[in-house]
Amino acid sequence: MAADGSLKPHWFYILLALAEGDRHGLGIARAVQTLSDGRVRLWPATLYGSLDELRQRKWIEELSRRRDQLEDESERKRYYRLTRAGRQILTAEADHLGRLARLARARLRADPGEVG
Amino acid sequence: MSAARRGYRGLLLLAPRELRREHSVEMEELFLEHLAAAHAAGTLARAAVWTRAASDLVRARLGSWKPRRRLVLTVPIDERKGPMLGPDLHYALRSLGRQRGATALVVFMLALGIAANVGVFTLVNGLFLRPFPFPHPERLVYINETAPRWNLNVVGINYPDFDRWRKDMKLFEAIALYETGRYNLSDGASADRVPGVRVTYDFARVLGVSPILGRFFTAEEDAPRPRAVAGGSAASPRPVAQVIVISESLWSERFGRAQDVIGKTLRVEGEPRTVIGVMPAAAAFPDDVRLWLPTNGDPTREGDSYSGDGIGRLKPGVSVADAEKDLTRAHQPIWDTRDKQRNVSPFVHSLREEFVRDYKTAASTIVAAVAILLIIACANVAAVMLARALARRREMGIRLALGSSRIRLLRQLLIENLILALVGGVIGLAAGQWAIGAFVAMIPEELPRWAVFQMDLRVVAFSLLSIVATVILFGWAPALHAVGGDLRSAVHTSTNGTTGAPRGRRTLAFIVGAEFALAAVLLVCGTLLVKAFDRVRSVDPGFRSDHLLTFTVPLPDPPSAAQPRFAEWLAFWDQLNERTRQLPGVDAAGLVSCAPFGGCHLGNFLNAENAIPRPDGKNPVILTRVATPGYFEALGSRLKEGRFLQEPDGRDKRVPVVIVNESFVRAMWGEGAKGAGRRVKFNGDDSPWMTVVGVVGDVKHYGLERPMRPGIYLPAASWPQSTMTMAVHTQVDPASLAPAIREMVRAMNPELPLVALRTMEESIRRSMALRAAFSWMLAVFAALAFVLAVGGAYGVATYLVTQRTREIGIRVALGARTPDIFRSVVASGLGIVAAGVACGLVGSAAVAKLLGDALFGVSPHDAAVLTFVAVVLVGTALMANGLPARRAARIDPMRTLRTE
Repeated sequence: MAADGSLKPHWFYILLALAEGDRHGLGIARAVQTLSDGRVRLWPATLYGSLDELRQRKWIEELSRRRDQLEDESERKRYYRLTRAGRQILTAEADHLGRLARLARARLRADPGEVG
Repeated sequence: MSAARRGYRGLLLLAPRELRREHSVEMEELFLEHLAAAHAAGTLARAAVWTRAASDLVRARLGSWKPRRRLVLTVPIDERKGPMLGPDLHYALRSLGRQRGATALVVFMLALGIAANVGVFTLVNGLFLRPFPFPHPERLVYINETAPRWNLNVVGINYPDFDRWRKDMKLFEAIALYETGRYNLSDGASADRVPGVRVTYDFARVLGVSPILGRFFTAEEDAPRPRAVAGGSAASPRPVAQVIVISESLWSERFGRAQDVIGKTLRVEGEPRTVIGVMPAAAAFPDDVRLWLPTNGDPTREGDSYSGDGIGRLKPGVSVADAEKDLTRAHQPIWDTRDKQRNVSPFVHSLREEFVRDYKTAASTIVAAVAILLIIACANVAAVMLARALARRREMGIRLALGSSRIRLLRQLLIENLILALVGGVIGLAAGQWAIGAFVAMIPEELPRWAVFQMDLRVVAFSLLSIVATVILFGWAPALHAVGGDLRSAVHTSTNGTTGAPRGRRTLAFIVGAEFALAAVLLVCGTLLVKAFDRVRSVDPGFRSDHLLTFTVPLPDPPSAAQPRFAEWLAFWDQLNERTRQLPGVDAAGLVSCAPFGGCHLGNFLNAENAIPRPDGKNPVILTRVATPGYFEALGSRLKEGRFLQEPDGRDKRVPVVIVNESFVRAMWGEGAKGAGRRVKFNGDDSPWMTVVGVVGDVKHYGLERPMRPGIYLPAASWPQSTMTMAVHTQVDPASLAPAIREMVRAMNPELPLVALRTMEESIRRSMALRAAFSWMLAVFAALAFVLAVGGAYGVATYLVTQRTREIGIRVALGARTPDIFRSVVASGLGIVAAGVACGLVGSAAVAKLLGDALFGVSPHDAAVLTFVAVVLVGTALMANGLPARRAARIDPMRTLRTE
């Protein structure tokens, strides 16, 4: 958890990427890049370190067999799936961010001159 | 594989191991994608990708360390007074776990010291402390006769003397004679030579062991056997059947533990005997024994014939000294009649004493050496712990401030030390047992059979005691310095400060000095022993020991035969000689009754014509051997005068000839005398005079280290023997002839066993086995002590340098130059070492004297050895101090003064 109690940004994006469906590591990285409009680039150690940590917390799980056999040949590709707990966390975080966003918009409309 | 992929693989080494193991391939793929994306953007972008990738990995690595790096302040919050084992234990374990390297080193050194001590103690326990497996073993004594005037400490027992003692003794429950030997056991098709013992009928009672089947001998079965009288008159006593008692192992092997073994027949020395009992394995005394025969001793036999040993069981409460007086009193009539000059007298020893006499010096030396090793190991541990303790003074100060008490801190330190000692002790115990197993496997024949080297209660208790001792030995230093003194100010200084260090430094210096002193003592003793071993090995045995093969053939000599089969024996020996000489590769061969390094001895007294008067009235015992022609040539004896034995010698009884050795000539006729042509004879008025026809050089018959006595060789033709040893000189590798020799003897008589077929070099090596084991064990301990001491010095020097970093930085900033710094660091370290080594050398001179006989041909003050040890120790100490000193001299004052 980040200092203010919300989910670390990396983790949020990874969970988000998995919400659309099971992916392997490389796929997650690409999805995150798309989802964040190119702003968030996951580097290998960070990505796989986070995946391991998320797996330890049981927010994602690793699939024992590749689902999509057309995708690639390498046996090393591991597929990940969002767990129910992970889905709940993601939803909670999305709600939280949504509230923050509404709050920010409300403040900005009220005081256009202040930065808030 | 592309260069980029390879490069990233290299970078991956920065990543934490688990990450790398699980995901390396995928990480490579991701990286390459990023790189490909940046490819279009130009070189700078590509460089940025590499940099980002590297920092990504480094950050992951740092992150993986974070949980362990949490320093000091996780102290037990609950600083209540009073014993709290749980949290204390937890804290101790955590604190040890934080410095795995140091902890592992400490445990290793402790395990080493304790393993060595446990191993040696198991040896000592098996040899000296564990009681014999007989009931009330403390009441068992060894009995024999001594004749100092004949130059013999132990003569053997004369049967009539023994009979007299048995009749008159008062303080013994029972006494018995025993004489070990090897006996031909045959069943028609093959022959075995088994170890057995001739005993008087009371033997089992003395030991306190009962047969598991059948019974032991009766007094009648042990009665003297008359040589068969022609015609067999009615007045001769009813002949008693020949009996034998066998061991449990023999019963298993030959009879399959069948219950009906009693009454079965075995042929011993060609003679049938009836099995009347089976003894349990525990009765194996003095050594491996597989059969017991009665002595059939004759108390009325005239003359002095001394052989064998005696054993007795004292009545409860009788001391060994009283027992000896009792026997002496019973022996008095013999002095009054047969031995008016009191040449021979009985003596009594405790049984254990008798059997470990040979090992005493060796055992005490090893025990001392290993204790010293443990002290050095503990000193090293103390130094390591002290360094750690000094570094933890800040932590201790904080805890004191948080409300802990010094007692509590001390207690927790003690628990840490105990944990270390326990872990080290357990590992050491296991390692020690393994080492003992290896050692026993190395020299199996030299150790007595009854010695059991196993972990018993005593060994475990000793190990625990050692553990406690080590804790005390190494725990005092760190405890004192961690918890004593002004702790509160320690909170304020950085860990690299020198506050509180002067006491610690002095203690460390003392520890290093003491280690070097002890290591010096061990090294000197070890080197001296190795040198002595080398001296023994290079002693000239007096003959040509290479390309020499020996074996012994025992012809059957049953006591019930009317007359010993002399003619048969002579014919056999002649044939054996001839056939052996015809074997391919044989240069020379000949027989002797008792070969060098064979452990045999037969002594006699001789009179020499015109002998010089003896200064102290002592009549020397002459080693008497019987030989055939060819023996001297085969052995490579050195002819000093006259000639070797030849074929006609001994065949014509009218011209008795003998060969003597140089010691004989010297003893009988003085230095520089000539022996050839002189005459000698055995005691007894009707013994014929024999002429000396040759003098040979002395042969080290009893061992390379033992002195040789005067010896005489009689021609075999006049003195037929039933057992002789063949010496074969070969052109080829002597061991290669073994199969041919076995086949030859088997062809001559399949019922004859071939005994002790080995090369002379092997025999000589065996005679030195104990000394070799002892010397090399000590050398190993000395080397270990040396390594520990030098390692300790290096560790301490390094630590002291890091302690003085700030001071050195200031000095450099003030203008000191590199050589000055180097010199000052080395000088302070070396001074201590030199003082320690000097003390050690002085001490070693005294200690080495205790080694006594073990130092063969080497003086305890050997200057070469002392110099060698001094140079080695100081030299390595120089290096051990020099390396950290070099590092000290390169200290950048800017950096050290800045990091505070």
